Amino acid sequence: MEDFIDKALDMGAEYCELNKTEIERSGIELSNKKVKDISDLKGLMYSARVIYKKGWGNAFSFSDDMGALIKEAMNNAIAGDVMIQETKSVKKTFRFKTEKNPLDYSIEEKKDLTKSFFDEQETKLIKNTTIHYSDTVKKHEFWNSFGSSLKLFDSVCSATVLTYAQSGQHMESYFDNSSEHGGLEVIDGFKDKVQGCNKSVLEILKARGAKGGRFDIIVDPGLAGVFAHEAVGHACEADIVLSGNSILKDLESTKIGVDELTIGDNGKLNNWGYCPFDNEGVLAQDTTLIEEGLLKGFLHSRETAKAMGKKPTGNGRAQDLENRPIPRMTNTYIKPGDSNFEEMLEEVKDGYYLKDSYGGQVDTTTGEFLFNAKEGFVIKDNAIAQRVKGASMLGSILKTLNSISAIGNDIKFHGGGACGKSGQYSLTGEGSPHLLLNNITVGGAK
Amino acid sequence: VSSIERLESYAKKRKIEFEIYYAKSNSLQCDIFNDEIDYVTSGQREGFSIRAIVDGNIGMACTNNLMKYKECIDSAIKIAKISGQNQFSSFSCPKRAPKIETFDKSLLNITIENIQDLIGDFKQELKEKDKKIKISKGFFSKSFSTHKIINSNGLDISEDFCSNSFDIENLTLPGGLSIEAGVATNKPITSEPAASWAERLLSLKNKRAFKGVQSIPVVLHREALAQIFGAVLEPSIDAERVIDKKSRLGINDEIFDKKITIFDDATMDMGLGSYSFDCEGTPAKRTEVISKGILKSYLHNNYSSGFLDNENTGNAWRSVSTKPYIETSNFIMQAGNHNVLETQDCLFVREIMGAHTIDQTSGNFSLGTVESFIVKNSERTAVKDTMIAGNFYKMIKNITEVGKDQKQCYSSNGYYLPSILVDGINVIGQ
Repeated sequence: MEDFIDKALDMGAEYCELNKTEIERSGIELSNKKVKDISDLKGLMYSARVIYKKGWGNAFSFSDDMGALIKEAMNNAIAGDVMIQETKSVKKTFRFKTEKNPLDYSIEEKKDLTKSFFDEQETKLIKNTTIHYSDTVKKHEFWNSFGSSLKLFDSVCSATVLTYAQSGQHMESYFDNSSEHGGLEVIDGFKDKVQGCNKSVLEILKARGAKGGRFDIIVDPGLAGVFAHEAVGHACEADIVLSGNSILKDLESTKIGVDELTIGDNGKLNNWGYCPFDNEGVLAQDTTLIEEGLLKGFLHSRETAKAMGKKPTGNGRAQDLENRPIPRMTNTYIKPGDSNFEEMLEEVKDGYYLKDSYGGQVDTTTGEFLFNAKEGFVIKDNAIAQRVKGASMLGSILKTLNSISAIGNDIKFHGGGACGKSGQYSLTGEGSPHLLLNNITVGGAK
Repeated sequence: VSSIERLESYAKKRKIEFEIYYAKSNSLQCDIFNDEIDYVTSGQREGFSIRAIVDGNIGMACTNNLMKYKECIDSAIKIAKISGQNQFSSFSCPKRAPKIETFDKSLLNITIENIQDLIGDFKQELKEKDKKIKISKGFFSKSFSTHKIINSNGLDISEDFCSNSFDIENLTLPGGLSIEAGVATNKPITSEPAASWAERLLSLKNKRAFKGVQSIPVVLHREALAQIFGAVLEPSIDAERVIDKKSRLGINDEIFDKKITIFDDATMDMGLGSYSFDCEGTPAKRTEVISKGILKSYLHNNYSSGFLDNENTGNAWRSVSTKPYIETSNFIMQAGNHNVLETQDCLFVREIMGAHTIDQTSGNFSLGTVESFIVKNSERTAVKDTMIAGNFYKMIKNITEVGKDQKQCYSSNGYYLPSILVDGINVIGQ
């Protein structure tokens, strides 16, 4: 590959990257213990990305004709003023350690394992339980004209359960998952989650709708992690900052949150957003975004780092070789504080305890965000009371960062989701302790 | 001998029921950053999946490495042997399909230079409305694809598709004003929508906070309705989900207000969701899904129509890496005769935030609103930090008026909807 890079430079390219990815994926879906889908996928893709006449050109194909790919990428480049931050040459191989390598198990063994997770004690109210298993084993090789040569041998394993319960005309669903980098050890003990899921859906079936209004709320690590991701992480992506569409664009070194708040992003952590080097060959690092309430920095690709006079942070990620690397989060986390859960409850007379999330969305320009809670409980007189459903929280970034009145001393990372940005999806992990937030808009149908 | 012929010949040798789904596409994308194209990517994708039926059991394997076709077919057979009985697995028989126009042939000739010119036209028209308007971030994409289905029942068909889209993630004005806008079509794009996009952006000036919690009439613009239908209605009429008891909707149930009639129509010439045959080879059809508020048909593929013994509506979609799943083709709600967009004393919602958080099963939602306005005494005031919350199934029985503004929706390809006026929704502000 190094020879092809030399040829690209001889032809006038100012910078060149070559990539090769190979993946093997198994997927199994069982619905009420019956096979719904079993599939096996093998994929291979090559790409060449160049800067030529100061413009970006990219080309991808399943064919390994790298000479033709480089030519196509150079033809695509439109003269411009692209500049990127250079880094030192790195030659390194990363292997994510697995205890039970998915490639060592037959598809039949994986199917039998998935079947073993079903709960034998289901009640008649549960109409359907679907369990989805998947594993992906990936090899990614990267070369660039700064002399870097990087390899990643990665494995991701996931089990998801989705349960549907119905009582009369009323129907509810609930899901849970175990998803991490690693082998089949990731889903050890998944049967417990399936049983928990069945229990929760029956409780939700009986729950009443949340009442909308402004309340003090405690959010669990699952929902607080989504808050760190949606409310802070996206607004810290440097391409959004550079385009003028981040509410944080002029606030570097400014106090934007409470003193106790520290938020970072770290692709080296072995959580769902693990990404030891990004799609531009920059090694992962622990990047501080907010330190003790002060906005410290942004997440960069090589190009945004150059434009802002910073070092790249290893966040130039692409969904695959067809797509452009852009600043994306890896594992975004809120640093634990010193409050415990009971102390937080003592502060809430009338509010909500919201847990985990079905997802969220943020408008980084206005700073408005919305998250839907997976589970909600009323807090009445400093104690957790009845379960409610359909609760979500709407807020604005800057107000909410100053509405945090306590940060828990517990931290938990969550994974399994894919974050969407500019039509690309990437695996991002979120970690946080419990948070207490004051005077938050809670949406509910009641 | 082409790679597909080699595949077919090897599948025949294994003496099994088989189906080969082959797809090839060429794509071109230009990224726009702060009014200029700053990134161009192009490439080819090619691959196939094979489904095999062995003793009534079905298995699937796929690859984009065409040299590995024997390994792929063997893998599908191996999977079929362990997948468990499924008497409703079957492959399509050859049938006469309607000939549908799916795209304007002139799309095939679009070059990077044409795209540069078009972006220039958009910029000019936007800046004529206000010279500070900027395309902060956007994408122009064009894709040409061919798919081909061959099976052991003698089916051997193929169809071409081509479309292009211009998606603006951030059309902005200084001071934190931004909208998402775009156009997706199977005809050449012109800069005609630019003026209306600029007007939408300019109308957001002087946003105010909405106060309190109120139950007031809400106008859901067709784009917001398309987002909500995509999240709740479409999965609920998917016959595979009905089989799995994931949908509570029954045929002849009165679901909507009786003003509502909805068709799924793959046979519409030049529709964005049109095709001559679906991804299993079933000829395209027009299906009445909702008739005067009553559910008349689910949407089917081969498996669900066999299982429920219903007519196959020809709604199978797939990619090389997925088994056939059910999706709408062109989803068309009949227009009403009311000028809903001019409604007084209401909250007008153009788009919603967090459509993917709507609970598909119960229909409960609490969503952020985007480009929303309070309309009072003929005055429209843009509002911020405003949520709407309610239940989808209750909401669609409380449709007060159906608009006459039925059009193709940008937020969901192939949706052709009018705007509606609804009651019984909670509006939550500060």
